[in-house]
Amino acid sequence: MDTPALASSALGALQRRKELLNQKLLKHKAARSFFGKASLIAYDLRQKSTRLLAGAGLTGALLLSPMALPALTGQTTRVVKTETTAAVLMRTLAPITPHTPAKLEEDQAKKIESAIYAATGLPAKMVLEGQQLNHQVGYIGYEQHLRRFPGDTLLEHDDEQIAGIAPGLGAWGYFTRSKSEFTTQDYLREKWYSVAQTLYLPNWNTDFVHLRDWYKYRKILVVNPANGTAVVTVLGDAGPAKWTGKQFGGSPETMKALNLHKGPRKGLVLFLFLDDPENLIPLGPVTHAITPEVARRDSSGVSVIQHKINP
Amino acid sequence: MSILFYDHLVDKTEVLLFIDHLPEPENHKGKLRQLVDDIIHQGLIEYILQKLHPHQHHTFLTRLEAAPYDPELLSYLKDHISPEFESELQKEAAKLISIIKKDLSTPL
Repeated sequence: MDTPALASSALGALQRRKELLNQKLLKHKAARSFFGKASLIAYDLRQKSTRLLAGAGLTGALLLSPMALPALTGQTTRVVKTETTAAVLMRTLAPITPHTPAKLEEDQAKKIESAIYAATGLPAKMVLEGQQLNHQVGYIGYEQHLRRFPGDTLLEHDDEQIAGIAPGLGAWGYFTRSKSEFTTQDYLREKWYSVAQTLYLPNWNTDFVHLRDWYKYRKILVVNPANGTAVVTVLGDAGPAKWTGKQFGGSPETMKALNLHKGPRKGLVLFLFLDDPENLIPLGPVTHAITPEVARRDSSGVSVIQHKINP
Repeated sequence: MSILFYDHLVDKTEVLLFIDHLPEPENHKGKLRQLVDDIIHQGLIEYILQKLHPHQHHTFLTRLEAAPYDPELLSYLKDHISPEFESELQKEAAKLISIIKKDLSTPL
C-alpha cells in the first residue's frame, strides 16, 4: 500500500466527509445556534470535559477507561475484563457495612471510605469540616418530589411522577425563587436530593444558622451495599421523623437509581459526605469509575488520581 | 467515566492504529485523528438530533455544552427516544467508523 499517497488522499476524503456531516447537522435549527458558537465541536468539548473532570479528580479514570481492542493489524491485543463499579462496591462494602442503622466507628469508616475511593475515586467522608451525621448507615425511604419554585406542579417533573409531590416545602424552601430563575442546577438538585435527620443533631438548635447553611445542598454519596449502586445527591430536606424507623430519605429518582423504588421502597444504605469544595462532582448515579483491577494496570495513572483527590 | 458521554460506545482503535502506522509527520497524523474525532462527533450528534423531538434539541445541546461527560445525557436520550438508544448509538458509531475506514483507504 502506498501510504504517503494514501495519507494525503485520506486527509482530503476525511475533510470532505466532515463538511458533508456538518451541512447535515446544521439543517437542525437548534444545532445552528450551538455549533455556530463553535463551543460544541468535539475538540472544545473534550478540553472542557477534561478540565471539569480533572477538577473533580476523575481524569485518571478517563485515562484508564477500559476499551475493547479488536485485533486488526495482526497485533496481539490483551483485553482486560473489569468489574462494574457496582459490582466492586457490592463486593467490597457488603462484608464491612453493618446491617443495622449505625454511627460508624472511626476504623470502620476508614475502611468504608477507602473501599469507596478504590471503587469510584470519590472522596466520601464520615466527618467533613468537623460535621458528622447521627448515622452513616441507616434505612432510606422513598420521598415525594419537592416543589422547586412557586407554582411548580407534579407534571413539570420529568420522571417518577408516580411518587407525587410533597404538599409542603423542603427544609430549605423552594430551590429557586421563581420559574424564570429556575436553572439546570436547581433541576438536578431536586432530581437527586437526599434527606438526613439534621434536626436531631445535638447542636442543631444552638448552632442553627451555621448548621443550616453548612448542610443546605451538602453533597452526599448514597450507596446501597446490597447491590453496589451509588448516587451522588445533595441534601434537599430534613427528616424523616424518628418514629418512622428510617434515618434518611431519597428523591424518587435517587431511590430508583438505588433500586429501592419497589415493594417497601426502603432499604439500608451508606450515607456519607462528599468532599467536593469546588462543586465539581456531577449529581446522579455513579456509573463509571476506577476499578481496582484497572487501577492496578497503571500505577502512574493511579498516583495522578490520588494526588488530585488526596493532596 | 468517558470524556464525552458516548466515548465508551465508540471503538476507534482500528482507525487510530492505522493512522499511527502511517509514515507521516506527527502533526499530519494529529490532523487525521482530529478529523476522525470530529466526524464521529458530528455524525453522532446529528443522529441524536434526528431521533430526538425538535422541542428537546435545545435542552439536550445545553446539557451537552454544560457537562459533556455526564452519563445523564445518555439517560436523557433513553428517556426521550427509546430505552435501547444506547445500543442504537453504538451501532451508529460503528457505521461511522466503517465510513471513515473506507474514506481512509480511498486511493487518489
